[in-house]
Amino acid sequence: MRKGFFRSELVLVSIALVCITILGATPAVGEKNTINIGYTCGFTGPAAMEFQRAAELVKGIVDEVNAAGGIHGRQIKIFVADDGNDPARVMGNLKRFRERDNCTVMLLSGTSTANFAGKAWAEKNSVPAICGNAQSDGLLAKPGQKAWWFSTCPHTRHYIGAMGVRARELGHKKVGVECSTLAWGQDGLNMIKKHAPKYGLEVVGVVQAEPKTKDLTIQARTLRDTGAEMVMLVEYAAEKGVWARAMKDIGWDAYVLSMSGGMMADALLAYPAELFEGWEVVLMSDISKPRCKKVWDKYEEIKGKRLEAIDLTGVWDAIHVLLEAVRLSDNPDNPKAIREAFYKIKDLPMAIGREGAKASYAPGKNCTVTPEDVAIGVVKSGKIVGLGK
Amino acid sequence: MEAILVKFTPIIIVGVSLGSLFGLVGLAYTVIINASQLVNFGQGDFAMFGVAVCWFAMSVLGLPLWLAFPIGVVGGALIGLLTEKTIVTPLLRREAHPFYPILGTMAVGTIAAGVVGIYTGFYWMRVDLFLGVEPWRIGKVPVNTQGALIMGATVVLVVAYWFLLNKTLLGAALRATGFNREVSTLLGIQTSQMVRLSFVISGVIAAIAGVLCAPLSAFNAFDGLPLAVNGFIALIVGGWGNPYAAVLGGITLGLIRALLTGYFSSAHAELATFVVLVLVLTIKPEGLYPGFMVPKTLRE
Repeated sequence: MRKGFFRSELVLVSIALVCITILGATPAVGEKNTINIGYTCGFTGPAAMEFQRAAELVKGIVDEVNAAGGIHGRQIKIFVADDGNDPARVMGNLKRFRERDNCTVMLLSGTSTANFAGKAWAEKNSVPAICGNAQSDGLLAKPGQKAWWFSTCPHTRHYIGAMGVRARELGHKKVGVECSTLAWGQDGLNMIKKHAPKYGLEVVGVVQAEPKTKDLTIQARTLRDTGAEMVMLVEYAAEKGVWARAMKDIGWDAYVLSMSGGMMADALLAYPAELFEGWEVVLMSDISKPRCKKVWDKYEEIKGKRLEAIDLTGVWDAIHVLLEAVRLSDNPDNPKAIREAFYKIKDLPMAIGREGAKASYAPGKNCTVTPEDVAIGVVKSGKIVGLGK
Repeated sequence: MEAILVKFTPIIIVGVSLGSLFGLVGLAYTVIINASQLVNFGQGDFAMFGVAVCWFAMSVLGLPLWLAFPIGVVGGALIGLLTEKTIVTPLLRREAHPFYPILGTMAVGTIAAGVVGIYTGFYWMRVDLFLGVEPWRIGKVPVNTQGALIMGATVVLVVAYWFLLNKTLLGAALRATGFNREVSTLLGIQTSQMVRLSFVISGVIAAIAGVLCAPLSAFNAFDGLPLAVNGFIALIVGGWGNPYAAVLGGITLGLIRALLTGYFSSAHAELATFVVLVLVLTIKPEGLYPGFMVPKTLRE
């Protein structure tokens, strides 16, 4: 009885294994007829909230394009996977998208830590990839280089430039920096240190916050004691709230300028808004421009609730640029043809940047943004509003 | 001197409050270890589940924090009960290798994190500071209200647990079960009920720690793990199996991290925790306070 039972279990397991093997080896349905895009996204990890809403917007836009007949008469199929912002998982997802799902172009929503892996993979495998999130300068193309990696968002240098100009305008000279220990924070810190003298600024102290730190009171006190007149923040939303509470606890009312509007928007959702009242933030768009409103309207249409998060503009541009490259390519089944098509894009209207900003790429230029595109906003009554800069 | 005090005192306060948090999780581990000799690898997820239930009560049911907090604690107790009933006791009854129920606790914790994550979309579960954003001030020294609550809760829970173990029959039965399960059964103690009780108490303590911790830094479905790791290290640093030593171990860790942050580097606090762990394991593997609050007669 026992032996017979064991045998039948063995047969069932064998059948299951055979089925799994067959299904695993079967190409994805519709692969021949669809244009396949791989989308690896940090649904989990330090900027999960930002990237989850990015994915919702991307899906909504692709659905819209498909409902209108697709591109070249073919439907767009998007393969999505979570990478947890882990470089190894980013690589794994991209490999799978290319080899199993036959994707010819990749979209990424990740922090710089993930994007470095994405860029390395794209270059090694000659598959174009685009990201619509704020990025490290290390992801910019070298002069004259034709890229496999593209972006629609400002890079660290654009933000640092805007921060320097703003600090100079306000007459601050001694700067304290609070940054993440992750790649983006370290990159920002190095750039601030490098460029501060250009704006007459001196970096008098630095606080490095580990991800998910629970208290920064001691660090805030130390930074205050350096004589810092203002604090530049280059960190993620969770740590932003911890820093705000630390400043509040020690009664330090310094001017704060944060480097990411998306992270600021997230922090406003996760913590009491009063903690951030009056903080200024560098924005990748002039949020008063009509195209920003269009992005937020679209998100509201998809989600059923309005969220005027500036980071949505970056991913909006990224998916539109990607689809435009597919549209302009001679052969959307060939990654090289799509990469060439990125360089054919001319004057595609952008949600990011100043009013009238348009996308185009050239050898040595894999980012659509210029320093003039970056704006300054301020937190007022729990909302980020533009300063008009 | 005053300047030193003004700088030093806040460092101590931060260290003790953060350390108390780790200590509470260490205490939660020890409750189960003492009753069943098992390590609950889902301990951090018990804390996370408490936060999730509290958040659900506030954001979905619209309840105020003072009501949502105890509901979250009940949530912690329920996941403790669920773990014990579905995994631990069935495996103990089958006399499975102790590794199996330990892995089972990890499985329940991981599933709980996954379910909560899917429900919340891995978004943060916002729980605001219990007493508002304004700190208390003692002279020139500011005291974070949430940190003070954590310290207070730790004292209350340690005293309550000590009272339960040392002044009640139930506590004696719990201790006896952990000391020798077979003899306890012969003495008429329902040992499986004691194991169940330990999981419930552990869930309650973990949930309290979790909900108190949640306002400190945005908390999501995966944030049980860092709490679990730090709590487990607190337990080892303090002294394996001694609940009070686990709390003291946590406070020691918190103080080391705070002093390091205050006087050396802010970027390596997490690293310091593991350095302390390695040092303790190498130099004093029984922990720093193995006999703390344990009657002399039991120390041998």
